[in-house]
Amino acid sequence: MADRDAEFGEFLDSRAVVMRRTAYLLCGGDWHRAEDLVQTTLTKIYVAWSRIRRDGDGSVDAYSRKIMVRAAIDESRRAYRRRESVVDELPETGAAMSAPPAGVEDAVDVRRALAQLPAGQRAVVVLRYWEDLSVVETAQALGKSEGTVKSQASKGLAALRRLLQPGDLAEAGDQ
Amino acid sequence: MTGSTDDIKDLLGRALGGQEPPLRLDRDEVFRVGRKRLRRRRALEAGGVVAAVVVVVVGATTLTGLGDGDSQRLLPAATSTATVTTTQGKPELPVSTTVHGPPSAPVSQGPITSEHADVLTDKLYNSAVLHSRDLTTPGPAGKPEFVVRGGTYLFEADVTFAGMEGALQVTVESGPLDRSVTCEDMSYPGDCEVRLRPDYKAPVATSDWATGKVVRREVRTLLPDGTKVMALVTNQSSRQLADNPPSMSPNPPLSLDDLVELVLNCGLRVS
Repeated sequence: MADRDAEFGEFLDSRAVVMRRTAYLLCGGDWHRAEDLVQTTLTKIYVAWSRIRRDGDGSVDAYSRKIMVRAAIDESRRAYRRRESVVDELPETGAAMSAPPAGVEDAVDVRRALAQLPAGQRAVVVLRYWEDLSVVETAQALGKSEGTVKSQASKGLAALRRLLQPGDLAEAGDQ
Repeated sequence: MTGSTDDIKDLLGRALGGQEPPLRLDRDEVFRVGRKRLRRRRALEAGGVVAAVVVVVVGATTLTGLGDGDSQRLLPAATSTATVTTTQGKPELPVSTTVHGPPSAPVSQGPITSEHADVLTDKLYNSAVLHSRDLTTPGPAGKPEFVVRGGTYLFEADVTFAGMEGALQVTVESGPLDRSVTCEDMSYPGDCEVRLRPDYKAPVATSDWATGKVVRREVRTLLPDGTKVMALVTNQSSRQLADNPPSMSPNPPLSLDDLVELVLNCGLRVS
């Protein structure tokens, strides 16, 4: 058990920050939910650690992606956001009265657009374009067909294009 | 694809904003909840194995009872006079040894074969305990020998020594590696004790059980290699049982120490 904990501890320390970024995008831009999601994912990885390690080094990342993305979709289905919803507007503070730092408005726009995508589409977009997974890998992670992944990626990008200002997103996708 | 996927990645990266909040992951909580779930999963898996073994044992016992009457015979000393009449003089041996005691996963040690039954027979006949005893078969004429009954090697014989007669049954089968023999394993708990002596290869459970004139002596052990050996002797042979009225000896022809020697030192192994 000590070896298992030490090994898993190393994995946790080295990946937690990266995992939280992916989780943040999967949640549509909410750091609190992202941390909950990472915590849930890491707990599941801990339970399956011995089996995952037997399958080889590469399987840890593949497994963690699969767990995280499915947990994110499940959370959405359970209407998790009724409890904690993403705010459209930045909270009004004294600082908000002055001009926001460069990039903040941009970040809010993208988060807002991501949050409006259905959870499944958002997961496809994040895995395909943030995690750089292939169509096949994305399909495996989500347990969907390659055709569905292509279709959802296309719809997701079209929605982002529509929601964001022209020029933010060039024409791209799985044709 | 008409545009660059890097553009999309760049756009998604912009959603993260310039500054990320500090990581507030509860590391200890991950370990605590993970360990708890792991323990629960292992407990459930262990429960599943026990349940599966119970189903197999119960199913095997039921099927054996339906399909093979001989395998359910009882030792003669266990029966009343009225019962003896209905058995037509044939001694009845105890029900399968697997029906007693807590269920546990048997160790697979290769197939049960008639060739190995012959090996076990030779070992038993060459043992110091039975060498000087007169052995006769309780059934048709012939030399008593181990036979295969389901997943068990079974030896049945009438034994005569120093004016005492009785029925002997020895079984050899696969047992669990993860536990030792207990009095709960005994077919007839009686005056049971578990012996653990420096010169013993494994703990041995012994019981000397007497009801009226009937005496049963039973010894069981689980050897380190996972072999489960049982030896049971009574004070009534099949010949005595066939007498009218049935007779019996004051004592069985083998002592508890003789039975311990049989289960521990004869080289009886399941494979």
